[in-house]
Amino acid sequence: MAEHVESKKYIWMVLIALTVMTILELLLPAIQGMRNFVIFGLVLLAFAKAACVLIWYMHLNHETKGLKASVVYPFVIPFLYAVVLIAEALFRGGIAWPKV
Amino acid sequence: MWFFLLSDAMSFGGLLLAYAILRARAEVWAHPWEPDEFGLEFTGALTFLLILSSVSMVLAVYYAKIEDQKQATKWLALTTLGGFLFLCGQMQEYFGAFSFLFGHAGGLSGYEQDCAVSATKCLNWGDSARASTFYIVTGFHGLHVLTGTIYLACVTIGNLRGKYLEGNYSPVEICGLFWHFVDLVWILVFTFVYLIPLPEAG
Repeated sequence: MAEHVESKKYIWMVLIALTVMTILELLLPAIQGMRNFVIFGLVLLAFAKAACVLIWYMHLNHETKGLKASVVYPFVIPFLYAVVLIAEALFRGGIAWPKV
Repeated sequence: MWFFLLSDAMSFGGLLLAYAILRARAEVWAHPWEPDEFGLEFTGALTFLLILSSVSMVLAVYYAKIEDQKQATKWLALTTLGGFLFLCGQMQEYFGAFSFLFGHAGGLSGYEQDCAVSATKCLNWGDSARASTFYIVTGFHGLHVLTGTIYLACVTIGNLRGKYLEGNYSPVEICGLFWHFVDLVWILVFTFVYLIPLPEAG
């Protein structure tokens, strides 16, 4: 039973982490100026929250190496695709950001 | 279930990529908090509700594993309720279905002000690429929540009937995987569709 009590602790730790990150997400867009910093911070927080859910709530950390690789590696492909697209856009004369 | 979720993640990835491409290439786009009726705090509360339902799902799986049927049923029922409330919240956001509780008109799809000036600032279905991608991405996720809620209700009833005892808790765990995935996707949708402001001009 001690093992179960121990194993339940992480649930609340992850909940606290997710709550703090959600509050930060709601506060960040209110920062005036430093827009690029806000965008970078929001993306970072989103991936950190997603990783928390994936690793601790979906227990990916308890799965076999093969399954972990099957889940994580396919996401390398769209990442490489995005890098190629951005490189191409820069080569063709920059990315046309929308007018504000 | 993992491989189904992986293929589903690709679907969401495609939709979010389409959203990103349309937004980056658009001459005019609006900040995510426009129109004002959007209610970022309201959507933030829905996000937190989904996170809480993920926690209750983890607890349900935990109690199913140690064969505490009563506790597992309680947490499964609470998770189902979380999903149902999230759907109600989305109905409020789209159509103002529960405006009588919130004291204002609500409903993004019925928002008319300023539409004549800039269709993209409004979220009337079909009026702009922004509105279409918004409803497709959030609606596709909403369908997952609906499916998950029905799935959870079935598993709750199964658990109540004692179907997952004697080490046979896998159906609860698999249902949990699906529900956490729904939460995980919403975390990304919330950031990319509701929070990220337009970059600085110039």
